[in-house]
Amino acid sequence: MQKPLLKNRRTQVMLVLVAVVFPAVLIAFTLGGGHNYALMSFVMVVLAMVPFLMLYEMKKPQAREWIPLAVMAAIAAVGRAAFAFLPHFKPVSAIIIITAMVFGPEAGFLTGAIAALASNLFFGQGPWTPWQMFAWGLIGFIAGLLSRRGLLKKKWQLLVFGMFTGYLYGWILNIWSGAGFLYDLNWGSYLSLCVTSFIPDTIHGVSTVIFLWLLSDSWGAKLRRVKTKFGILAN
Amino acid sequence: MNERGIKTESGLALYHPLVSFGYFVAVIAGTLLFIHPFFSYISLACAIVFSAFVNGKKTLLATLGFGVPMFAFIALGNPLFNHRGATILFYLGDNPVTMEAFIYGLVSAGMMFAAVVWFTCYNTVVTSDKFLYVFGRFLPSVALIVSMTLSLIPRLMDKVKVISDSQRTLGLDWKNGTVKDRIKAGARILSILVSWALEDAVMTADSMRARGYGQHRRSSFSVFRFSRRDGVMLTVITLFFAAEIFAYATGRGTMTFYPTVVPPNIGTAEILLYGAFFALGILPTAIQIKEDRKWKKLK
Repeated sequence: MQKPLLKNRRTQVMLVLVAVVFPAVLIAFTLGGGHNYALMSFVMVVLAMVPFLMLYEMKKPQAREWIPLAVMAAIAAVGRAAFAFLPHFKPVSAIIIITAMVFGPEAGFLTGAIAALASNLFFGQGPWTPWQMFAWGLIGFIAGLLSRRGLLKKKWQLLVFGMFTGYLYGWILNIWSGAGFLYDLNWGSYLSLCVTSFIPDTIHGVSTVIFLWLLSDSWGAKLRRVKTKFGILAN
Repeated sequence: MNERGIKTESGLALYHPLVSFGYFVAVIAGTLLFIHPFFSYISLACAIVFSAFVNGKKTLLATLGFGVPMFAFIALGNPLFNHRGATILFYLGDNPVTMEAFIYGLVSAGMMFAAVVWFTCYNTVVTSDKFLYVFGRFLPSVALIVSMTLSLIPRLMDKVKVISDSQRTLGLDWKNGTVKDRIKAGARILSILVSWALEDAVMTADSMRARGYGQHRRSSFSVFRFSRRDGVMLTVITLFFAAEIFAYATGRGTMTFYPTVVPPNIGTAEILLYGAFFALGILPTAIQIKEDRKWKKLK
């Protein structure tokens, strides 16, 4: 488990796929011409998720390994619905980060993506669903990577990262807003979107910090206990 | 709904999941592929008509209640954010507001509106068991996690109610008090939920193993058979989809907005293309009407 990250075969394959798939689609659409960012970005974000999911498939996971992830994704979805009374105030990122810290980056991606897909059953599926899946999946993936490198051990590190994910999530969803709504998706218009979304993103970040503050120790302990007790994901 | 109030499927929903899922892929891709007024508004009209049939008037009104403000937001937002175009209508502060940006906004707003309405139809026709059936072939483990998560949510919601009721007897009510108290109480409920759910989950996993999970291919609750009718319909949809891609690749159905709007060309090829797209859009409604008629006749 404590294998150096870049020597892990699956992580290598995943990084290469992400590095190849994104530019390939981008180039294909640029050569095709036109300004069809809405469709292009939609295809890209769906494709970007494929390597993560395929690699998970290749592991042939046991029921014990993935059922806790389904539970955490479902709790994130329920939490999102429970806190819907406060706009932009979501516990989802915090729950995903805590899960990823215990179960690793791939599990983090899966939990994030599924939490987004499942919670949109209440909030409505739409062209934004894959974006939310990707954004939350990526937050889980990064949290898992950082945690493996020991970069989230101290509480302040975790909280700074939590604050940052609020913006990361907003920036990823702004690509969708820009691609879907604007003709010119360039750095200027993208930046102006990020300025507009600054306050919602800040609220999202603060909510993640609050939930990490309140939950990370106790939930981390609970998850680690289940992991040790039942010997889950001890590859 | 039938007379007993049980939701019955009809029309497109009766086809094999691959067909109904494929249909929505084709029609939503076509909607997003062409940034063109005819495509956007043909798609929007077809989507609204089909939604009226499949979702009913009440749901359609709710969709419109969400869609119309979104439409206005995009249609007005584009000229405010985007200052390209040669025909300046007026200045807002230092920024020119152009007619081209406004027209583009109307087209893309129609496109997004159409996509949203199609998604509401998708949610009704392609139920989550069908979605999982389609994805279960490519990504069986992922599909299983999704289906597990979906089945857990209502159970967890019930549990939340039990927990919050008992917390309320202790004077810890997450529905009242200051925002800070509510957040704390909500977080506590979620914590209790986690302890319970994780333990329960591993029990589920062990019981699944005891029943032979992972030994053979998974069977599914709903039985879907791919019949000849499904084959025919899937071929039709695929042909339409291929035509869309071909048209897009050869540059048909694109429109120039900047610097000045060039009105769309209307030749034989274009009329065929618009006609084909309309046929694709209206297809599920046509199936529905045909079946309703047959049903009435047989009654």
